[in-house]
Amino acid sequence: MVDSYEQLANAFVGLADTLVADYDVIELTQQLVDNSMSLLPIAAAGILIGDARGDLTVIASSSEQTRLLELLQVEVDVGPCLLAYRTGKQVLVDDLSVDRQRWPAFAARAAEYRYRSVSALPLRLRDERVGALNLFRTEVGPLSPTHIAIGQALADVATIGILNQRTLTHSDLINQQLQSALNTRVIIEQAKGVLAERGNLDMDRAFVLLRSYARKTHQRLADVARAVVDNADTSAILDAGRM
Amino acid sequence: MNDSAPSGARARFLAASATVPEIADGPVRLCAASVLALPVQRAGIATHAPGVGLEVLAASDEIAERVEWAQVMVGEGPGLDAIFGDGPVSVPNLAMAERWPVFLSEIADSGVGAMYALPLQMGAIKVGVLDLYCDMPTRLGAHDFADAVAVSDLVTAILLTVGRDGRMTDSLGPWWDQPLGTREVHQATGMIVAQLGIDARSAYARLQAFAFGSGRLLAEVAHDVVTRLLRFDPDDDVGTDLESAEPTW
Repeated sequence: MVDSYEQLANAFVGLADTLVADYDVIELTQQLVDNSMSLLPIAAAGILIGDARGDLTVIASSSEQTRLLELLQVEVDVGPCLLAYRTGKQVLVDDLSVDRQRWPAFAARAAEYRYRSVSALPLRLRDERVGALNLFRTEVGPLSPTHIAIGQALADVATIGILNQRTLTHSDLINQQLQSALNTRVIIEQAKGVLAERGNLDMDRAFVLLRSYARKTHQRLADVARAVVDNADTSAILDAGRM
Repeated sequence: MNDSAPSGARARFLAASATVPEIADGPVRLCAASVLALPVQRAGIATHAPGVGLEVLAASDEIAERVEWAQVMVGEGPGLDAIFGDGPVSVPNLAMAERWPVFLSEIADSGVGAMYALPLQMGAIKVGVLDLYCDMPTRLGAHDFADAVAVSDLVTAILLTVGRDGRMTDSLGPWWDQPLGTREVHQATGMIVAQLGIDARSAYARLQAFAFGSGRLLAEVAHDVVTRLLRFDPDDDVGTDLESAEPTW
């Protein structure tokens, strides 16, 4: 149960500490599970993470008991966790005995293990979906909005950590990509300006001409833009707009 | 939130960055969250890359925005020193600072009393700077300063989130959405390249010089160039303000 803000803040700090240290995704997700167990009125928790192909893997759980792992494993194929992962939205099931047709295998297995309600919270940051956090209860009925908000906030911190770990692992490559992206967007804006001035166009029109010329000549947009800014002849690009 | 929570700055920042509903997703939210999490009143983020230079990414309010743009226009300031130096730059009393004379005279009437510039860096990846402002001269204690560093690490982590395959997408994502002013500065530079037949770096310098000389914000001058109220003529030493120019027809 959440006894105090201090407990919650400590949980955040613990998770957030992992964001800038060298750590393991397994440790991070296990910490998320442990925090959920101590802060929320739940019986069990598990985390599934998506791999490069978008398939889920069980990566952490509150207990090593086979039954929980098996239950989570069923969810790899179909269940609230997979739905939360795919849609990036919370999937809250107050009573697993209602609407058993939705996920028959999952509902049956959960009933065997006496889990009667589940909340699946997405691990996502904006458009980047990483996985999902499953919170199981033996009672029927929803987690309170406050508890769901806490669970989601913990999941959000963990998501940043997981995404961050990818950055640290690929730091040289990321740096190159970042520099390239930043340079590219500047040069494109500058090229729009050159074309706008030479052709007496607005910026949107200038961009349309730039892009269609790049496509027509099978060049990268950034390369065409760079040539434009380096004072290449722009008549071909602008003439296309006058036709 | 309960201020007595130990090292609560990270928690406050994360909670704020997730739930400031009246502010759209994006870098402005990171500034707003920094202000909520720390004992400062304003925040700005500027990015920096070789070949690109300093660009304003976001600010918590108009005053922070002005100061960020001032750094970009004059090319000096605590934020730039933080980017090129070894670590954060603390200016507990801007009025008493002995460095950055041009920057300080630009922001003299802005209403900021103290500035803390925290580089946004992860390993070898340098992203830019998080500038924190206090309205009154303020010396941040060790604890608050550590909190500020922690928040800057979180901002860096968020800006550098990458996709499943370990790549940043070409579009960089919503945390990198630039304000119109930054884009118009580059567009105006391109227009000046065409107007004067000079290279981009020189064109940008002309734009900065005009803004500085006319006492106007760089972004405003850029906007005038883009909307064709101002143009640069090879025969003039300075730009021509077309609003007050004689019509030629």
